[in-house]
Amino acid sequence: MEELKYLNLKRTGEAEVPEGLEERLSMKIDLWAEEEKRAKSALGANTTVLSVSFLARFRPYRNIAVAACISLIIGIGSVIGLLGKGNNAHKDTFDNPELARIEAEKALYLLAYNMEKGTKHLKQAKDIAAHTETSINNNLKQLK
Amino acid sequence: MKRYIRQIIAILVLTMASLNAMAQANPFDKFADSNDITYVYISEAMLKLIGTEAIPSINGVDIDEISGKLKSIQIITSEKTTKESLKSEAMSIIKKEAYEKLLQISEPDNKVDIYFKDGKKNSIIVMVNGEKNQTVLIVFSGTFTTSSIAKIFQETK
Repeated sequence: MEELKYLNLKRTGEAEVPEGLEERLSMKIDLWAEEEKRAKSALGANTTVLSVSFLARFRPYRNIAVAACISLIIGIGSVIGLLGKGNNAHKDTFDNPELARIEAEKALYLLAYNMEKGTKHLKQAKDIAAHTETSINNNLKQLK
Repeated sequence: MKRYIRQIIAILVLTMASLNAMAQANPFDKFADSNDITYVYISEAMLKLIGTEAIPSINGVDIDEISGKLKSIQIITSEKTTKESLKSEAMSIIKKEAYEKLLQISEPDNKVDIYFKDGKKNSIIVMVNGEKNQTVLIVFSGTFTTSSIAKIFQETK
């Protein structure tokens, strides 16, 4: 019995389109268009009537919508990524303020020490330049 | 059609700008999760608690201009094996973010470079200390400006 049913189904082939469906559909579309026209004339030319053609007006904005969605996804992803990274990066290493103070002082001391070291050489160079200048000036005076 | 293209470009530019702004937060944060690197972070709250303004002047250099305006200190120390990689990564950040070199000290077993970046909300001083066996990066973030740095150098006796 089941075999017979299967055979029958196979024999039917493609589903038949009901007669007159195409005409009925195009009539319906014409009717919607006419209804839209009537509604527009009744409410005024500037009034927006929600219809198939109304939705079609937004088609040019599809690209903008897609770009905005991509931007939003990238933005949210980056924020989540940054927050995840920031959790460890901005977490105080020391719970004990005394240990934090020692480390902070050490770091600042090292900065000051190196700044002093760097500027000391500059100062020495300036002193040498000044000394040379005075020596030259003195010699020039003697020559005069 | 041109109008739509313009709008798409505007949206993309805005997105890129916002992403760029987020990325500029602090590029040295990435070392927090690195292996074989010791990362120490001292927050603004902790710095307020310990009061870094009380740090005395060292060898005639008064760094009150910096210590009083600090928002955070990051101390990043490499192991012997990660010495070179930490240094090269730090240098690539410094180059990419267009840091200005304040000074450089080159000694036989020690090389120190100090860089500065003046930001609108947050400025950064980076000290790269290349020792024999390790590299130490110290990152000072705060509201100090170029004039704060200039004052330190002027006050140096």
